[in-house]
Amino acid sequence: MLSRNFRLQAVGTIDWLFNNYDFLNVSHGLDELIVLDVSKGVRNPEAFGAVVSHIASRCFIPVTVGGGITSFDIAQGFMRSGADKLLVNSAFANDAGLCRALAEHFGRQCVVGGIDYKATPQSSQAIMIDNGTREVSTDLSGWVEFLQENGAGEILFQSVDQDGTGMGLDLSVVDGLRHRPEVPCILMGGIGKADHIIAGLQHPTIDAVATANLYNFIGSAFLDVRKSIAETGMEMARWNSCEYVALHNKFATSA
Amino acid sequence: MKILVIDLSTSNIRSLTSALIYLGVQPVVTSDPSVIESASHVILPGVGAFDTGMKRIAELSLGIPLRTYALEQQRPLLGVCLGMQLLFNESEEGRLSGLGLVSGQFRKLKSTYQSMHKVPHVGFSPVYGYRETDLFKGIGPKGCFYFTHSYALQGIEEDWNVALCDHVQPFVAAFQKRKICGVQFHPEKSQSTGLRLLSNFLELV
Repeated sequence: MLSRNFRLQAVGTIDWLFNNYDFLNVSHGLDELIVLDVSKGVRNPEAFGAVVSHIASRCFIPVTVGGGITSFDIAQGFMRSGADKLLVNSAFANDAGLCRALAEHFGRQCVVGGIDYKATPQSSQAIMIDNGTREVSTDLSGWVEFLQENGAGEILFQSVDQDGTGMGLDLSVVDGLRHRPEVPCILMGGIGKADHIIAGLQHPTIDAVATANLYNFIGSAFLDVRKSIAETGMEMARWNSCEYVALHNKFATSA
Repeated sequence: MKILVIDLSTSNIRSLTSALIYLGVQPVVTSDPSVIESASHVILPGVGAFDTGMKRIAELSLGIPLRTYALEQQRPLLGVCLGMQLLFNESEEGRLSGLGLVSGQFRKLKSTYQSMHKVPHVGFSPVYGYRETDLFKGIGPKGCFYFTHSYALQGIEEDWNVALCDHVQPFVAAFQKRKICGVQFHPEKSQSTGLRLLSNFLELV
């Protein structure tokens, strides 16, 4: 299925998401959640932190928060709002010292280095920052190593060209690297069906896949995808979602 | 019930309190040593380095009240992630002594090229080998929990109820020795399985 670029399509407020899409139920099919501030122009980290806080208080999986991490204070604000990890992209080019400081303070397992790349007339893999407006390198292998040296405990590769197409992940991106990254690698951009997820997870260098294309996965769709993946013999985390109902306010009367 | 979450200000305890609130209790977040003796349940969370955690415990004078609570009063105590490591006497990571409520050795997980296991160990992994009583009641076989750690408990001497996990090598993912419990994983980040484990802990009396 072809779809538009959902990452950049305004769909509504966080309340809209909770009210219309039973988002907490969707989270029962996920291992982890990434929440990105993709606001254009001036960002409001406090308001975004409130959104993070709202999500994190009812979502019992690790939450990665990103978008606009330009200072230690903003990062710390996100962590206090309930983030478990920080997705940092432009800061690696603009202020690598900040990235090292975040790894030092929160531990490198908290720092996810994001790499947005796309084909340009000069390069098949130009690395873009500042919302895709500025090219910083065409040496993907070198950039991966730079991120690891400056505090990244995981790397999230995102193909700008594949994003929103629903045509599948760009698996070739990790095949071209000179060295296999030492840290976990996440691939994002282009997932349109379960087979795309399976293909990503079967790749030996890829540890996880991510999708922003929520609309393909409404209701129990993520749980169904997990079943399809498990049927291929891959190990998938399993839990009993019915337990959420049984455990909610279980101790309320005796509190 | 008076449930304390000890705040060493090294970690994000917000998700832990959110999980407890979901279960219907109102945890008290504190670093005050004097309130420990009146608690029904104490949870010691933590992330980061072993020595940093033990330094905070010393600065806050929490060591003796925690020992009294766990060993003399014999009331339920749960260490989470670094909090589990602090319950023991030592870790390869640190030079300071732990609380010494239980004995065992934490060693660094060593990544090997052949095993393809990366360190730190991050993500959901199944655990096994436990009896489904008390802390592990209703978890089912191969309960999956979210881990993020580099050091792990490599063996214990006594016959505790223990959950094992394999990453590079088998390690102790969780244990219960009478009312003293520790989990290397994050139950507050482990979907409903983690909430079940927290609920089981709250049922210990």
